[in-house]
Amino acid sequence: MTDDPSLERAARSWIETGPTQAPDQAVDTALQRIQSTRQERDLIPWRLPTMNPILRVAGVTLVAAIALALGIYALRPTSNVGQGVPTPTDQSVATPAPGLPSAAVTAPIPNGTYRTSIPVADVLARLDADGSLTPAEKTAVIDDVLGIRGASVLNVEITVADNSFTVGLSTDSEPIKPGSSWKLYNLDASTIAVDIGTKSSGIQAYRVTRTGLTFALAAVSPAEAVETFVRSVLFETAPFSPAT
Amino acid sequence: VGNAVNPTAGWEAQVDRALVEQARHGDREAFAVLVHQVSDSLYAVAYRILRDPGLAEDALQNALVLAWRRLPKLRDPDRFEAWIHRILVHACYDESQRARQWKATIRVIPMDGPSIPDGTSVSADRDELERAFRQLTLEQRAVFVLHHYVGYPLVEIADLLEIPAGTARSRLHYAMAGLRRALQPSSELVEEGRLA
Repeated sequence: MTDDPSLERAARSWIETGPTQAPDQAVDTALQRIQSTRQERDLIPWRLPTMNPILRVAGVTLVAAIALALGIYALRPTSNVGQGVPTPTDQSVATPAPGLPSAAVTAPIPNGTYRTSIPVADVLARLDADGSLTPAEKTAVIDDVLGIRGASVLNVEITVADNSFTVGLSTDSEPIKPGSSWKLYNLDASTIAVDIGTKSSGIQAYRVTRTGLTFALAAVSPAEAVETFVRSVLFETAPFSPAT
Repeated sequence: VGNAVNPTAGWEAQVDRALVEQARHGDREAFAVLVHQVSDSLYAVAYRILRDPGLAEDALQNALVLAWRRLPKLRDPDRFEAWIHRILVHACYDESQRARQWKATIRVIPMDGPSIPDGTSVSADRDELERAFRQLTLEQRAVFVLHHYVGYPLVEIADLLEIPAGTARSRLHYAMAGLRRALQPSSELVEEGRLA
């Protein structure tokens, strides 16, 4: 790097002098701080490197199959796909179409913010009963993924804005913290896909059941144990209603 | 590339990948073991960049806490060393900035008069190097320490600090130029017209 080897030698020799051991007290203090520090995780930590390749292929195949089926559906002469996205205040969307059984609505989720609240005790009971997660994974779900230790209610907020799908979380003691914004695809009136980025497992698909202005989600793409549990808590526990 | 005697050269062997993986998944005990494996090396690097034991301690603590927080986002556990060095360097920048804010109103008066290196005294050379090094920017110091103390190639330093390779090269060049000036006898500097 330099044309002066003696300078480089002198500089290297000089930079090597000095302490080479961290003071114990500094390390102990750091470890104490870590005990009360929560790790930052993606709200739903699907990641390519850790995801089973078979599951990933299965997920992509499933989404492709859904897309194909919906393409055929969309080509039907009576299709209403592509007629614009209704808003939560659009009463024509909230009203079931004539001839449909019960109050189910078939149309994309209107733009808007939706919430649901989940008792933390229920989450903990489900976690306790879950046999697919290790104790460390259960702790991580409580402390780092959901952040529900000591809380009594977990609030989940979904904001739909045309082609984005944002999930925020809060507890009774913390305000809503918006998470990542994912790409949203309305595969058909009752199925959505969220693309959560190239650094993760990619696309997750959910079946949407709408009743009036509320909707419920059910995952239809495969996932690993932690992801399966987390998304079942966040998205499948209770229906989402428009935020007031 | 880099020096032969550096404290972090054996990191790849020292850091247990399984521990990194466990800590990524929230295992605090695994992370505590990792901390004990890397804290000496990290402190040594922080001290050499900041030249202040107190600031180096604070930078080490903050880097370790931040590393714990961000560990789930580390995509490749094999890159743990480079990743934690990046966190440490940024923690050093932050500490230096904080220290500057505290000292902003204090005018530093040198205790000694200007020393004139005689070109033969090792101790005088070291003093001059120390003074000159403190005149470098934090960014220049970081590149110098990562290259000459830790032993990273410049390309890897550029990648680690997320800067262009040319910038890393230029920072090291200016760092060496600063140190060279410190070691040159003042008569040479006068001849070169650097002291006017």
